[in-house]
Amino acid sequence: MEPWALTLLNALVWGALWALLAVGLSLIYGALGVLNLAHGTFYMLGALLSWALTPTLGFWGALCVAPMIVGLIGAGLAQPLVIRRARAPLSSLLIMFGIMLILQQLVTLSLQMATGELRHAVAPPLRWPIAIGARFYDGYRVIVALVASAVLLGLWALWGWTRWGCMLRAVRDNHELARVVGIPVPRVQAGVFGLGAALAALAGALTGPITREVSPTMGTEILLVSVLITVVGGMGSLGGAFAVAVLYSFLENFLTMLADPMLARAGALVTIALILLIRPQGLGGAA
Amino acid sequence: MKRLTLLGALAGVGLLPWVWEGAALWGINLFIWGLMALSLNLLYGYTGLLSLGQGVYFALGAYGAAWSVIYGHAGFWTAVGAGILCALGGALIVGWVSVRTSSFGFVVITLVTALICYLLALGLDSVTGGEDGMSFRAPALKLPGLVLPIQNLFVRYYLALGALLGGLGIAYLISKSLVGLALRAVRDDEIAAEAFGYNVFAVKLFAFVLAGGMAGMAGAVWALSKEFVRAGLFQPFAAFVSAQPDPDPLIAVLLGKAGTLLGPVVGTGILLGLRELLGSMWPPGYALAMGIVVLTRALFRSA
Amino acid sequence: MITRREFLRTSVGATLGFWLLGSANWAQAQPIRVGHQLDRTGAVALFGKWHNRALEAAIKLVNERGGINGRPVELVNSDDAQTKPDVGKDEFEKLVTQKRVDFVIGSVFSGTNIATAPLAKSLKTVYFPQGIATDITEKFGNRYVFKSYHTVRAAIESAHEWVFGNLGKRFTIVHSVIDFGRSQAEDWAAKIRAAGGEAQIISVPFPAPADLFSIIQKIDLSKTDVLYHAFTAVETARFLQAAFDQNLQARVKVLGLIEGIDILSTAEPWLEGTYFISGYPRRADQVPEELRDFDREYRRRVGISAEGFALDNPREVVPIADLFGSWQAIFLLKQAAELVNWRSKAENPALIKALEGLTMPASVGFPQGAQFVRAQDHLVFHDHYIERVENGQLKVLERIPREKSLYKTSVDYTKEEF
Repeated sequence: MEPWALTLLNALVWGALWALLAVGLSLIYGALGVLNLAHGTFYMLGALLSWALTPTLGFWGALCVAPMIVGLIGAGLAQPLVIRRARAPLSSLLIMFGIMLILQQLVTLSLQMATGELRHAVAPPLRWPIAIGARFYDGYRVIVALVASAVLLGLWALWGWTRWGCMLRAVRDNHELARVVGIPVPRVQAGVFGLGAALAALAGALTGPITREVSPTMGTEILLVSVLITVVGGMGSLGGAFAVAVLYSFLENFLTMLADPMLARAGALVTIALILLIRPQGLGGAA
Repeated sequence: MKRLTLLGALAGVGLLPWVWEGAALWGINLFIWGLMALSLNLLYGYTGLLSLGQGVYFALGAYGAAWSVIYGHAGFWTAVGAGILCALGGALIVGWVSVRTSSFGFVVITLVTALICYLLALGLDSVTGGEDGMSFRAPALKLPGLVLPIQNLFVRYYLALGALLGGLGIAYLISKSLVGLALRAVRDDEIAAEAFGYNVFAVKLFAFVLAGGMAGMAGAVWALSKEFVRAGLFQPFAAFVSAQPDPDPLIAVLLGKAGTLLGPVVGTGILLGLRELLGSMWPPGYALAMGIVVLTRALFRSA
Repeated sequence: MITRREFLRTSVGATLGFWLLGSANWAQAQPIRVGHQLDRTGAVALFGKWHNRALEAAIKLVNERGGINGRPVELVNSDDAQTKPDVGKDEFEKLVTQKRVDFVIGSVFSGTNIATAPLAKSLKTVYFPQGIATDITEKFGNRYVFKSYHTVRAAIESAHEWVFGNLGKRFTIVHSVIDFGRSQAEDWAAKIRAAGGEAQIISVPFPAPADLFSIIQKIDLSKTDVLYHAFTAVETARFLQAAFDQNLQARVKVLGLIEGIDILSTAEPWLEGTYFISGYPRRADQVPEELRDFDREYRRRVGISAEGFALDNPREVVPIADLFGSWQAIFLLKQAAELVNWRSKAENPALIKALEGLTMPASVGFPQGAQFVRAQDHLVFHDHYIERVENGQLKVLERIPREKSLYKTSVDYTKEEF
């Protein structure tokens, strides 16, 4: 019994993390019309930066600062590289791919030079075992779920109830019209790119103490899964991304209990991909 | 004159290992990965389909060949055929779903296919060998009146060279034929191509399956000459997570010239040379160079 | 510029000169080249680095003592074998055909060893693989492959009586799906069933998933006395931490091979109280009295402190139990080559026959104690230790003599042609 209760809890935690990643990707697609292949790299950057900053700022300080830095990097890169050329999909894909490769290599290089090692162990920031029956659940993970949910709620409020959110939706729905009514489209786009990057970085910084390890390649698989979640959720649809993220997390965690972990993940990916056969535009996508 | 240069170059490549044996191992890599780049060029260069998961068909080709030898005790040519068939089958299924989607959808499906296949290959380690892989004894290459052991370096060299020449032949024929015209029409303007009566779906699917088969051929030759396969062949972005990776076909195509016959092979050669050069002096430089190639090519892309 | 005539004159002169000097003398002045199939990157990179250091130190010692048959020994490193079997195999071929080495010390990655073994035979080069999967000797070995250090099956054979008697017979085995982990699961399961115990096996892919939480959930504690782990170093750490989060260390006995944590510090809460089977004590004060002199010399020459850390980096743990396989391969070669007065690869059959059944006395070259090479499967047998982490340090509980690890082998390479 306990293993199932714990698995349920863990599925919720990872659901919130995947949602952070997928919502970020979806936001970026909505505003800029590009598929951010560097999303996994931002995730990795967040995890590594927060690991590197923890000795000076403490874990919680690093958790706040790392996503901000990554967000600024994202916004800075968006302006010259992405926005001006976002029209041709093939070019934008290659640009994102190039950014991903270069960022990843720069990180690898600096990590190698600074520490001589690529994989680093991450110590848990706090020890708070929550007893569930005879077993324990790591209380840190519960905090992760709470932080991620709070950020997602804040985002939802921003999206639905503020002037900024209104501009975002306008840019997503119609570029030209948004420009005509005086919205500074390029600036909004850069801001959204930075925001998406920061969300990915936050997910990375939160995950570090869960996986107990950070390395420059940790974002590769994350990218592929979150891209699929976003597409199945409907490109640009935040609600869809959220729903599919949670669905994927439940499938992955519960299937792992029943089968080989790799087959379970493959099964979860195939299952959510099948949704595309029924709704090619994705769950939340407009028909 | 042109024909003479071509013959001369061919003779030079053919005689190279006799002059310098060290070139043989290097040449085998060039030919196999060159063929792989050639297959991606059919997709990206000629048809405008950007696939980031072409490694899947290489791996399917490799496993098809390996399985037919391990479980079916197949002969050499049967093994190559089995590899190509495996890759063709996989490409047909994935292509059927993916080529009808937008350019983003296509990239996502090719990438996620690679991830799913990789996970399956790791999970089904009893048949794939997992990350350790499986070694096997490759059957001898039989030609009329000749039995050549694949363990011989020279046999492997000429086998890889032959495969590359075969791939180049196919690519040449296609580029000169009406089919090649159709591919380029779809690349340059899908709607116009449709208006001229081309079945865009069929044209794209043809390109995808053909490219898959070619990658499968490269994979089968790779597996038979290494006498080895491993699940890591399926790994998405394999060329970017390893320290001294094999040449990535997309980078090779971008580095050479997309849509030309020999460009991808030249690109592969440059990548191999860079790896050799930087690998001993400054390994991270190689990976960094790949990123810079992609970014500059994308920024200065005309389309 | 050298004219053709000058060239002819010098080359004829040189040929005559060598002929007069005698080819035997010339050959003896040439160094013996030992290749190292070296993983510089990938999962076993840290092990590769230390094996390389051990080889350097061993060769330096051999050369100080007059080399092998009076000829100096030279270490030739391969390019990066990347912890990938296909790459390692290519590097082996390059070592033999291009760099012209006489012997090759193998990678630490069992998959690479298994892929390389057939090549060792076809290139007629004696190969010392450093992985420890059972299949290296039991299934994929051949006349040219020698294991200078135990395999999983030998370790399990020697330890199983003690483990069943002191820890229990109901196992849950969680293993990484590589040859190293798989052979531990299979060999333990066979022993447990033969002893009337129970074995649950949970396989975890390699590389392991980012979150091992769900895998811990699959462990049925009501049917487990012993939680056995079979991962490579970094993954062992992640697995045991995930288990510690759920308090498993307090509820079951945790056991593994020392190779699984050989580069990790033991001063961790999640290692406290866990058991290990090892081929060499990490801490000098745990080494048996009669071997301490050899141990001191071995540690000093490789650069290992009495506590098992690197002398040049007091925070780096040295895989001391793992790397003496490479260290003693060099002395194995020296002993056998001098026995048959080996001069070139053409004399490999004689060398191999000398290696088969060779016994080695305890010495600096064999700091682990007296050992012998079993002729049939080319495996070296040595003593084992049961160690436990107490107050953050490995402590030897039991020394098991090498005779106990003599399992029945299913192969006989002495019947193979050269």
